[in-house]
Amino acid sequence: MPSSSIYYNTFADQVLLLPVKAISFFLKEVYGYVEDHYLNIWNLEAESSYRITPVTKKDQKGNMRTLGYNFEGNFYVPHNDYMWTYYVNNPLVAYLEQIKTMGAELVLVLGSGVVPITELDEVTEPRIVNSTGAGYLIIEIDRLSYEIESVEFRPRLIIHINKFIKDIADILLR
Amino acid sequence: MPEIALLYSDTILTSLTFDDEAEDQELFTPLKWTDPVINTAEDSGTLLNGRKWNHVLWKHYELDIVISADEIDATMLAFLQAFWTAPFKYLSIYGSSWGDYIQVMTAGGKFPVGYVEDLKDLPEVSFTLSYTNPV
Repeated sequence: MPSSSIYYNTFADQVLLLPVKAISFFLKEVYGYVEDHYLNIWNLEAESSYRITPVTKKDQKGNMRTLGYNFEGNFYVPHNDYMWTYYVNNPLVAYLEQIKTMGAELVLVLGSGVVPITELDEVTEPRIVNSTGAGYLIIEIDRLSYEIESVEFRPRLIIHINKFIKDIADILLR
Repeated sequence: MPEIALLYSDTILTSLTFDDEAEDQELFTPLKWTDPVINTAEDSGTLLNGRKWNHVLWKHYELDIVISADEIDATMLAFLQAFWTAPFKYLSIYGSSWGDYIQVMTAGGKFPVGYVEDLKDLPEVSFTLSYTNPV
């Protein structure tokens, strides 16, 4: 006799709205110049999204084997001061250049999740709308790339993150 | 359910009966593996009158096996390389039960590993195993 069954049938009114509130990069100390710190980017544009897709191969019996997962994130940042302050007063692009070569721990803050702010920071988190839950997605990244594009009257930054992970448990979803 | 077993040894096996607790043995459900098929070696030529001739020297069963990244971690990759370099290699195929060990050989040369989508975490090993004894 099987043990008791498991049911997932109570989705009504329990589907959480979890927009990407912020992306945070935990940056390790670099050659003693900069201490460990978070780089927090919030107020992302609505086009921002992420996907976790399986890498599969079909076996000789037609079964699909999952070999791992690709994480792909594209985050649209309206901030564009960097155009005139490149590498001056630590503009955003300078931090991204660091992550581009040295990697970081990426924290996607979802819904009403709390952005990792240190006690020393005197900032107020933005109000989150259209959210009914809180969550985090944490992944170690080795690299990132970014691009600058012009839309309507302004340039904007797009951060692209791709990472292969063998085990889905390597992405911490909380 | 595993479908093949690979075993390697430094000495020739005295018993070919499958042993599920044998050392230096791993079980696999390969991504692909063919049924054993005949591979022949022939001697051939052309007579002075133009007639061609050939003579089958011997026949061996061969099968191709592809073991993919879903079954390969660092330990398994080390096992497969040890299998590749071992002097005596054996294969057992699961039908309704495990069959006797069959001594097989691999081609020499570089260990036949490739990487799915060029990802280091996704090694894929392809063997062509040839039965040692002729048909």
